[in-house]
Amino acid sequence: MTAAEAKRRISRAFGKAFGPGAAQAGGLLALGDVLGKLYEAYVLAAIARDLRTKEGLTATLSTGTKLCLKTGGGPINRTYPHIDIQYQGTTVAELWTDVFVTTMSWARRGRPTPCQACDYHELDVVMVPPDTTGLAAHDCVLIAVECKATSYEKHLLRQILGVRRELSLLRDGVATSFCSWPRAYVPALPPSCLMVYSTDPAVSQWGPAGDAFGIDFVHCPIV
Amino acid sequence: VTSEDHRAIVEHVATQLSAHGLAFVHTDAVSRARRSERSRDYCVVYLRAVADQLAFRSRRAFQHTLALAGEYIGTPSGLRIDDVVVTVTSGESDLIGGDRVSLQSAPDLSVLVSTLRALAEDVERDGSAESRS
Repeated sequence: MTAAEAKRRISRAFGKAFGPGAAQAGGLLALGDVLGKLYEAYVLAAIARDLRTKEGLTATLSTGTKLCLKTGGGPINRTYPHIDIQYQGTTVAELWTDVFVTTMSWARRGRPTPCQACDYHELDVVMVPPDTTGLAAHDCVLIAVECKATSYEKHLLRQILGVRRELSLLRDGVATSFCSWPRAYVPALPPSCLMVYSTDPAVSQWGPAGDAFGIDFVHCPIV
Repeated sequence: VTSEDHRAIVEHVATQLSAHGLAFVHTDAVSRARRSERSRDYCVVYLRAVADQLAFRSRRAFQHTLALAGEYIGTPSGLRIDDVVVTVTSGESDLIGGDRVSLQSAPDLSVLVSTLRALAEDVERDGSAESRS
């Protein structure tokens, strides 16, 4: 076999595997991005499970049958599908993915416009009150979640501690909007529940530091 | 097939992968192949590993995700969630209505894997015959 023949066979194999629509295949995400996005969707579903089984809430996609995620963060755009969280048939909150949340430091500076890059942070999954639109304010966040389908190292701990700082002040035993899950009380005001989901079992080693500020580290492999 | 040819073949595969949106494999495969003294065997083994990884990881995760989402997230019409779609966005500029990438439409790479395996075995066989002669 010559190199040219090997190349021809490789090209044929790719052509066969990806079909005639190579352009469509070209639009696929790189594997690393696929796993990250899949993990986000998986965590979203796991949150819906816990809200149902532990809080008695239901989760309903706002439109269609496709779970949509974005490749990049942005303000809440109500033309995108999201998940309505309902209690006894009434929508009490909404779950959004890849949302920009404005910071407490921005609010304390009097919310100058336009927002600079330092004035908001992207969060993977956010629960906010119904009909929230645009950039979500730090004091309307009910649950904020970071998803990491990678090893969870110390610099990520520092990152999430920074997110907590921009969401809330330290204050003992503030009641959340929940009966028990994720938490009935957090040491934070405004009382947002902040969670980190990771495929890395070592994520739980950061629990003691997170606990002091109301950050829950959840080892959640895709099983 | 010389080791230079092998290198060219690996680069060709990497280019093909890159053209199909799997660009991250490109630099890795090529640089690892270049580092390898025994490029022939190494490349064949490495390509197998890459192909296996592509076929396995995204499909399994996708199936688990759909199962969990389908069970716990309802839809307005009462149907199960049938797809996970990634909408391409860039910062604040929403591109809704523009490109959408469906993870479910990712091709089944098992055929590609088996074809590459067969090819690798052919190359190995030819290489062995060449060294014997």
